[in-house]
Amino acid sequence: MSLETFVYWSFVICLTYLLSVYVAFALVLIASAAEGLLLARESRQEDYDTIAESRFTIPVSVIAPVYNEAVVVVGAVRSMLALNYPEFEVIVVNDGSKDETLEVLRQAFDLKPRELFYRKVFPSKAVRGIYESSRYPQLLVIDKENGGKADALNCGINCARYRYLCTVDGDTVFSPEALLKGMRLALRDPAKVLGVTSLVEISRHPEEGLKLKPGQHHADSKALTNFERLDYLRAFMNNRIGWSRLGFMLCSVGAFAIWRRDVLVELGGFSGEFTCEDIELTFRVHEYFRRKKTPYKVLSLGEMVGWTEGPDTVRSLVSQRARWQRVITETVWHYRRMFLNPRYGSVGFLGVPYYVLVEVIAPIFQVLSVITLPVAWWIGMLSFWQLFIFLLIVAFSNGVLTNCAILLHDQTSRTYRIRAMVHLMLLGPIDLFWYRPILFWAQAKGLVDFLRGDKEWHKFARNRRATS
Amino acid sequence: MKALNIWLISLAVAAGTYLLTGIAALIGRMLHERNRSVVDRLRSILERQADSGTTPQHPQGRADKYLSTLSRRRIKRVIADTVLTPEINVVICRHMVNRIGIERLKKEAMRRSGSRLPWSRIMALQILAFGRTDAAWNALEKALIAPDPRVVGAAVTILGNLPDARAAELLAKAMRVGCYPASRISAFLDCFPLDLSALLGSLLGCPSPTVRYWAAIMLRKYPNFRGGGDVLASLTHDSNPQVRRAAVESLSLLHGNLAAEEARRLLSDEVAFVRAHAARALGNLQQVDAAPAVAALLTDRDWWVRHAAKVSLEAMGSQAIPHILPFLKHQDRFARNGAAEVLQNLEYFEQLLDEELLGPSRPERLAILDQLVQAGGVRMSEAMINRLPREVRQKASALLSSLGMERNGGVS
Repeated sequence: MSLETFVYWSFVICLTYLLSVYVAFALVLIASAAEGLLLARESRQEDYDTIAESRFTIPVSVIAPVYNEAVVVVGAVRSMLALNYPEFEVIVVNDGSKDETLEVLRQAFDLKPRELFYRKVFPSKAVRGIYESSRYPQLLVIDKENGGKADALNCGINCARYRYLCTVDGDTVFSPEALLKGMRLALRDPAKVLGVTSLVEISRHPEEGLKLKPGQHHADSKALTNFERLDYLRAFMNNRIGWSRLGFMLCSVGAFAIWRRDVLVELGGFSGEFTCEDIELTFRVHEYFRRKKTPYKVLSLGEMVGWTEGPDTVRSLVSQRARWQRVITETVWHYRRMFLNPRYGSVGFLGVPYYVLVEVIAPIFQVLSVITLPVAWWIGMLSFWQLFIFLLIVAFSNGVLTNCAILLHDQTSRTYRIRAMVHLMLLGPIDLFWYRPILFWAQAKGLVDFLRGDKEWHKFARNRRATS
Repeated sequence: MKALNIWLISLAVAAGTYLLTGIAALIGRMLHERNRSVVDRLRSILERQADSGTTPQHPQGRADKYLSTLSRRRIKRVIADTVLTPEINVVICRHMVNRIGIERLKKEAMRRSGSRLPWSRIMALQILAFGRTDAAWNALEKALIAPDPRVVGAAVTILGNLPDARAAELLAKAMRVGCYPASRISAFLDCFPLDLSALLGSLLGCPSPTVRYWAAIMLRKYPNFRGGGDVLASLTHDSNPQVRRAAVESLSLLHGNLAAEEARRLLSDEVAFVRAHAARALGNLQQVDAAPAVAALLTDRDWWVRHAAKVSLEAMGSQAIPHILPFLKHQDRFARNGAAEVLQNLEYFEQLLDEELLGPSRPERLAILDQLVQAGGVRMSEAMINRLPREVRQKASALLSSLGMERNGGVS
């Protein structure tokens, strides 16, 4: 086979793949737009005041595993304690932190050691101490040996009192309305709604997000943060909401996921066998309830419920995204029996194939296109202008997706100033030339790590800022 | 050339779509800002009217005058797009009733809907209801049995925000029919500003156990409901366990004497959550003479019953302690753990330790401490020591060690 033939067919294959992905995005985007606008309208009509005051509102146990979060944990826990919700508890599980996380919590919340006998529904590493706060009776802190996030979550579930659980990240600052918004769909249909997730935004200073009213938020001064923010927006507004509508919402985010407790008990809790526990659990829920033919819903909202820190450097971003790629591939491989399996309905026919197309095999085509395009130009198959125009087409197409995400997000949350919206929209096309190559590299690395059997977390370092 | 044209056309389409979507996002936002400015303007008009003494209902009121300058479509967008305070909602809806006309609104509010039209129907219901028209009631009643759950949900929300006895009756009817989650309907009824005791009392005899359950729960807000105690007491014999549970809970909060007797009986109910709530009810009533029976639930086969027993015993306070102590030696490990936890939370552990450290040692006190250390385990003892002032920790640690703290793992 000559080089020209190889390059030609590579180009055709990559172009076909790209068009397939855009078609898939477009179809899901249509579903997202329909569902997102509907959810936004319903949310505006909801009587949140009654929910916030009613003693009949289903109580929730918020479970926050923390590991080496001394810098951010107090702000995050304060935001959880300030949630506007009639009845809830906050269980912070210190997963064997090597820094001063526990001491910082002890001082900030006036913790006193107590023994609590709980039912060990799920095994977990040994608990070293349990603490109650004399100032915040709904706060419980569990100090345990390090066992990973899944282990910490399971330990928290063992001690939880309520029927619904909200698993969160210990570094995320929540808006006071987070639980109200998150629980809205579950309260309407507690029999069927098993899980709900919602958008958490990226910020270099999560605690600043609480100080600004809707419509006042700026774009970040750092481009990398803005690109990450847009990535999250696209993931939620263009994808997850559409997946909800189509019945295959396959990824409840670890930063904010509400689960009905009995579901977790029935399924055996979070699994420590996977690099990330959140997506695997969501797959498992779908697999189990589809197999049992039990009507259920796992949903996503587009409403912003909090702010979390994202990787601040390219290196840490690559580490994070490589991990995500690895865990997606792990999970899809583990649940491959659902692929195109009619037993699993839209999850089998749409959801898993979507993941395979858009996530799992993406790095292969990305690498191929990165090689093919310059070679095609070099051997004269593509002129410089053709190549340039092609890249612009892809850039503007990405820009369209970004604009749609911003539009849908604005209809739902009205977070940003108009100027910030313009700023973010202008970054949409630039994404291909600046941010996307980083992700290409990270995803390729993630796929290789999966094939090598790497299971490490590779946590990114916290941004440098003053301790609270 | 042809190939280049295709590329250029594709680029134009991509760039054009990018621009259009961007403009659409900005226009959507600007429209929202415009709608918000209408609300802000109305708010300032109402505040000025309130200061000047002019009532908002006055047909020549400035609010009406201002709204007359806006198109109906614009006002409908304001209603759909923004969250309105009750006062502004009433002002706008009254204006729209006058502008659109009741008959047209009724037609809109009764219309069976496809996928897009529910919003028109819902808006018409809102305008009729918050415009305080009599036509609203019939329309809302029909909306409660609409096939579209969005319409039903909107009707329930609207009724929940109308401080009128007719709204409460319709909500109660909705609960009887079962067209919407009873918990949501109950949330509205529970927050209602009117006395609904008679209405809720009438629900106690409903064939649906769900309705009886919620009615029993809600009645705890009405201690003066005539005959309530007897009715709730009779419901503690209901065939449905949820109803029994609700009845004993409400009884314990309203009618102490009746409650104690019924709650004691329900401590041996066949259903676990009924036992649990009966235990909690006795704790609410601080019925210390029921402490032995409640303490016996520390050995119940159901975890939540044991948990409820612990909560109940703590609520009874230090007078329950003598009844808990025997369980420190019980053969059931969970009962021993539970008893130790309650005594820890009642600060009895601290009290014994203080007395032993500060006063002369007594064998019977040491024996109880020994049982506590064994039943509570190392972690409880360590937690206890860490709560003490620094100057006595070493002495306390030595004392507890002598009782075998280190060798008695005791962790459940």
